[in-house]
Amino acid sequence: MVSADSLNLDVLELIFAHLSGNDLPAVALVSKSFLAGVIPRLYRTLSFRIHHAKRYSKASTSFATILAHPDLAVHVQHIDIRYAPIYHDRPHPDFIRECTRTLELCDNLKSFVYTPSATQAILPMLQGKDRLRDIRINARFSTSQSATLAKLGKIERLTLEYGTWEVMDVLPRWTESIGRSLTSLTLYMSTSLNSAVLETALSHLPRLLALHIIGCPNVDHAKVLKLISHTPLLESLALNITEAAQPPELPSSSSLGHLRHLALEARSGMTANPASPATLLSILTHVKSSFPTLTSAALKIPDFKPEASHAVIKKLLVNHAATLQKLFFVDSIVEMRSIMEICAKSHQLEMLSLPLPMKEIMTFGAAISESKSLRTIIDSDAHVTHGPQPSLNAETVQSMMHGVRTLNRIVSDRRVWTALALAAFAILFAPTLETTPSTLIVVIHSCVASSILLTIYVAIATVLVMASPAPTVLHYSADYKNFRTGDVHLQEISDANIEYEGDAPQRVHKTRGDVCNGDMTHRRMASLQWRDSGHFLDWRAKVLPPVVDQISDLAGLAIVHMVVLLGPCSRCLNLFEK
Amino acid sequence: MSDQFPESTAMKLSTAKQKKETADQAFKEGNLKGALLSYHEALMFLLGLDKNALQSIGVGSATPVNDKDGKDAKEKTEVDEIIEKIYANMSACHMKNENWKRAVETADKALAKNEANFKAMFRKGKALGEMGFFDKAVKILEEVKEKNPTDAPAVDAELSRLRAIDNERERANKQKLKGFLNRAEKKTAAVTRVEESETA
Amino acid sequence: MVLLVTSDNEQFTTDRDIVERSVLIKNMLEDVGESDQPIPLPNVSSSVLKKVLEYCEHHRGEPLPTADSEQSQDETRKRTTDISEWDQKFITVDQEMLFEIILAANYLDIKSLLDVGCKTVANMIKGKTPEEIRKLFNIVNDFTPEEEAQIKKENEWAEDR
Repeated sequence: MVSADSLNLDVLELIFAHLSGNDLPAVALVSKSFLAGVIPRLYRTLSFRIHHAKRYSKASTSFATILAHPDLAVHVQHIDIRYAPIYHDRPHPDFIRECTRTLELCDNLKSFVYTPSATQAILPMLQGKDRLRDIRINARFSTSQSATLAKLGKIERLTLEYGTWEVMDVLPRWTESIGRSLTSLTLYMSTSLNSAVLETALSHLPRLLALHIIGCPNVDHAKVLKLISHTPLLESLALNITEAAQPPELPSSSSLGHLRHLALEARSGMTANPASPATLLSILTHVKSSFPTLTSAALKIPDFKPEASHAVIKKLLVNHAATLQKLFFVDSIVEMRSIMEICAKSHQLEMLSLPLPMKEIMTFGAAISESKSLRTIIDSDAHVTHGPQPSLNAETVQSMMHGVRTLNRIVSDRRVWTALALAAFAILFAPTLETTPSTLIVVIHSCVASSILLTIYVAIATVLVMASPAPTVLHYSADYKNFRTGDVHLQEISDANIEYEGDAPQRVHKTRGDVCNGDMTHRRMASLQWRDSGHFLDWRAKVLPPVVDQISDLAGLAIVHMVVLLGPCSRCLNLFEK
Repeated sequence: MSDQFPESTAMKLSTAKQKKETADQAFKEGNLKGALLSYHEALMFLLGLDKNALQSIGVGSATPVNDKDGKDAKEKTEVDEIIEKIYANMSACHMKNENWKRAVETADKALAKNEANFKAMFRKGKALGEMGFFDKAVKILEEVKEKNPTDAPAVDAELSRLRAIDNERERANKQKLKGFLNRAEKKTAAVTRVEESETA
Repeated sequence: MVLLVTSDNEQFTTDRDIVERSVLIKNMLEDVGESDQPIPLPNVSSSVLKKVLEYCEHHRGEPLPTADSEQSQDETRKRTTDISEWDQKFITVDQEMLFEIILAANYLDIKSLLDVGCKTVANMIKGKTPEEIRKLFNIVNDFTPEEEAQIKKENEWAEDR
């Protein structure tokens, strides 16, 4: 009898490579052979987030496990530390010690993220890692530490946060040594960065594909645009726009022919001079002068009045609507007429992220119905205000998806709404539901308690599946437990881990507040970075898989059958609103 | 269902061994095609034996020896060793045939079973060099020298041979480039002369 | 035309371009050329080979996936939702056949079929507790209670909150 037992270790490893999150520890407990098969996947990424930090004294960390079983270190490829547990106002010394000792063992490390401060002890441990290519680090270093940092070679993606002048000082030298490999450079919130240093650094990086200068007050957009003449192959660019006393001269020629992703932030919080719409428009013109095939754009223009915002969006559309596939608006006012124009003009647009106008959601639905290509809508509204907020419900989502045929995912308020298409089902049961016969779109939202019901319905569904013509059931949305959001760093989404900074998922408002302090909103902008070479198309998949893939086909079908079994027509959809 | 009849699994193993011997013999006699045929057939019997089948013939343990040690769990079985040898020998066949691409592919398969198969590593390096991947070839050959010092003279010989070829190639390229440039210069000179004469 | 013979001695004849989806067979044909001698496939039975050939025929002409570099392993582009409709229907078989197909795809080195099979099994595992997984696949729990407790504790960090 061929069974799961017959599978060799190699095959098991291949299977488990498709799993993530909670499934991995579950598989580890099944049997000894499953444990052996899941170990490479389980230990591929060690992450340490806020919930780990909060439970530091009570629960064992991944580092402790590695130290207890050093042979596991060979599997570790990514280490991602966002928080350090605090002890007497400093990072817990035990934690630092665990980290450094674990780091020492992990020879196959490919990427390293460490954003809490005080990384001094850890820096020397990064030396000698032959495979290390990706670094994101809180760069508040002294001179000697900076020198240690600059010894790292073969780096491909570098993100330095809060870089001190000592770090900026070594940057030119460092870029000389990593010039051949570096494809992405992000400098975030460094008050010490100046254009001389940046120019020298960029002159060593002719192969750079992505450059993001965010929150560095001494390097304004004009300087950056001038300096990118050193990096003609640039595919991704993120900038802050500021307003100088006199309008800065933009360089006459532009080397942005390869640009695919553009992110522009115009905030007054960072400098004394808020950028004016005119400046933004002139930048868009400047970008267009190289005729890049822009596929994705992000705008953060919180201080712009609606009229100005519309003008900017219009310009963006005029220049790039033909090629745009993804559009992101963070903390910006997007008027309904802008939305309409976006949907009407961008024939390739697949993903749209903006603050969803909850109060005018039906008008919004009508506005987006102009689009023939939209697949995903993401609500980027931070929902900072406390108090009851109108939120999406099944009916609204259903009507939105009805208006746009290709739309099958709406992400809002930490929920994911997806569409279930049951063509055959519709034919069988259309009369009982007030929907068009050709496609029935059902939006489902489940919660934990329904898992019990689910098992029963799976049984019923199995019978029904045999009877009915083969429907094409694909996904349904999952419950709070499985979808977390918060500090969304699209660049680092690995294992579909979007981190959630809060306690229980139910305490919505409190945690939203956590996410949206001033620092974090800056993050939001900076975080709209992405890997080069179009992997951005996978962003959706990276964000949503644990959610969407949670339940198997039969379960999804079960729910729909349950809908029908319970009898009443389209009203029955409301039963699920819990 | 390869494990239904344990005796048949043992039979497969012995058939495979026989085929390998046939292949080895053919290789010695210079019949490379025949050797490759028999090597391939041997592989057909050895690859894809599932875990239960291997257990039934007493090869490989039922569960990994150490629960947590991923690497140790991949016990090298007798079957793995034979497969490794077959791939290594196939690589030799391809080297003789000067089929460098297949030589590299089969060498890689051998190395996947055993990282320390220096013969395979050497073949891979040499084949890459012949294909023109000079940098990769040097890197691998240096690794062979480092990890297996007894091979050093052979490696050095190969390295110098490759370097000579590479230098020759570069020189030829430079000549070509110079030729182009000269011709380009002459062309522009001719054009300007024509223009001058026309305007004159 | 290429001849194949399975473990239960059944012969199959098929086109070269269909069967070359199997890299194992492709390499053999490349190295040795076609012949009237059938290629022995002792580690796959006829019922499974039938299914495999069905898959290969449907995907005839599609480019073979390139060699797995470290990159593609790394980037979790393992989206389990991107199985095509036809593939989904194809892989809707009983558990035993599913595993047989996976083993055959592994044996014959048909990466895309192996991928489909593995994703399908992964989808079956998602969201289940260890006990549910054991029940689903008929696996015996060979851990002692102490071992179980230790593993649970040591992997606690990996659990989502």
